[in-house]
Amino acid sequence: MLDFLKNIVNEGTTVLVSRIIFVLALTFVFYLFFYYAKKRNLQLYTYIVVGVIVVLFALTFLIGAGELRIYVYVALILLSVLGLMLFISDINRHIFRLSLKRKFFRENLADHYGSEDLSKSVGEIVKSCLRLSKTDTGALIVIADHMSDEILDSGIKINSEITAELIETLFFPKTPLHDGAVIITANRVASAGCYLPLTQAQNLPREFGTRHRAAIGVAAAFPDCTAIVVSEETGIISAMHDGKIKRYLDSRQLQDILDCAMGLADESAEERLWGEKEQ
Amino acid sequence: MKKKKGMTASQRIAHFFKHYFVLLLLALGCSVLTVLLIAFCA
Repeated sequence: MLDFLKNIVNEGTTVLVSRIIFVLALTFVFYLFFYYAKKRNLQLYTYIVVGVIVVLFALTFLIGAGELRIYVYVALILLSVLGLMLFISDINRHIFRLSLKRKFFRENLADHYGSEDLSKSVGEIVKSCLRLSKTDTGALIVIADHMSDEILDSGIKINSEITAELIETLFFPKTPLHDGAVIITANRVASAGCYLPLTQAQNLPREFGTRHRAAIGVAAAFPDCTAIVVSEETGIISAMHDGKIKRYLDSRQLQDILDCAMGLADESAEERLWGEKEQ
Repeated sequence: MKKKKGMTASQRIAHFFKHYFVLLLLALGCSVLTVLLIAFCA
């Protein structure tokens, strides 16, 4: 093994550089695995991977590669398949989220709206949510800087000014659009009756139904979106943002959340409200 | 709609070291061992 290590150092620069690039690429893959394991609270997999590699390396060092070759290859292939199977959905979601970070476009969009217009819209949404809560009418409102066309097209395009009356009408029971989500983008009611991705999380309160699951799902998928849910059963108003949930909201709290969602508050206010932002 | 200020560069670096530096070291260690293992077995 030591001779082998000496040979590696003595080989040409090109070989050394290509090996370093390979190590860096592999480091990235391992990093992704450990990162997602940490995020999903599955550190056990990190210990298993590190343990297997260290044990294989120690055995190869002690016994020699000849006997162990086949076991080393099988173990490495199994580890790769395990990593891919466990975290493929996280990797997909992360790539999707990265593709949404069109920062410059969003900042230009913000210049089109005055604070007064945005405040008025926040007031209208708060008013509608409180009325819907009083009458135990279920509602799901998503406020986003940018929403995927698939979600917008799954409902009916509205493209209207935000008014409490419109929102209440859209969620009026037994009307065709009441069961989906209302999407608000660019200070307009963009679409209604939209279908959202449901979260598969298991550790949610029992009283969370499909509407809440859809809100958590969309808030996890779109980093800058905030979902407001009015429960049909209890009238409780909840908000979801970036995987975090706030429940039992009163009008003041709801207004603060909507101020953040509509860009009326700065980032420190958002951090006070939701905690540190996920990277 | 958002009018947010991003994290400063130093905040980002501090955040990275606080949360992910150990993971990066671990990943680097594993990848070096794996490459040595593959090369030694080949």
